[in-house]
Amino acid sequence: MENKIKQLRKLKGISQEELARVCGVSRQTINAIENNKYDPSLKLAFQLARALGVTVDELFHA
Amino acid sequence: MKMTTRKWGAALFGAGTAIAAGFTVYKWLTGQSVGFSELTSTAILLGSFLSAITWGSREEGDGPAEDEELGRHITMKSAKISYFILTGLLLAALVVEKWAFGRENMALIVVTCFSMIVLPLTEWIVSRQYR
Repeated sequence: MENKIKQLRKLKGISQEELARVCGVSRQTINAIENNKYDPSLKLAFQLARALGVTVDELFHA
Repeated sequence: MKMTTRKWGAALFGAGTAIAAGFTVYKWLTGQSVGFSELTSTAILLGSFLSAITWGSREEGDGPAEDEELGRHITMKSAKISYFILTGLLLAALVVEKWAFGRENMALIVVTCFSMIVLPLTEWIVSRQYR
């Protein structure tokens, strides 16, 4: 599943480490999701959307 | 370079593996018997070393943590790959036993057959939870 995490994160000026800390995961997890290596769980998808100030719908698209 | 728990673990288990493997090779080269204890200790130390270089911690930010989402994803993917490798190795051992030594190891045959059943059996049992 494609996502806009990288664009939105850069737009907000936050690093992978910062986003990872806010969501309670490692930097590698954020990197893997950004590069479409795996799809996050619903819980983490909501956490990411909340941290980036968007909805899950806006963040992910098939 | 900051020494994190992961790096310390890797260094310790790496050194331990090298010592155990070296000792095993030394015993083999000098004609002494190499058995269960040498091989299992080398395998345990090598397994611990590989684990140490794989997993980090969220606090130290030095790799994926085993208990987080990506860690669970890695574990699940690796488990299935490992299963097929192990089944393949068991089949190879059976073939070697039969063709190289001309004997049939009943315990090995039973374990190989079980390895072919255990995945679909476990999947069936787990699928029952989602009926």
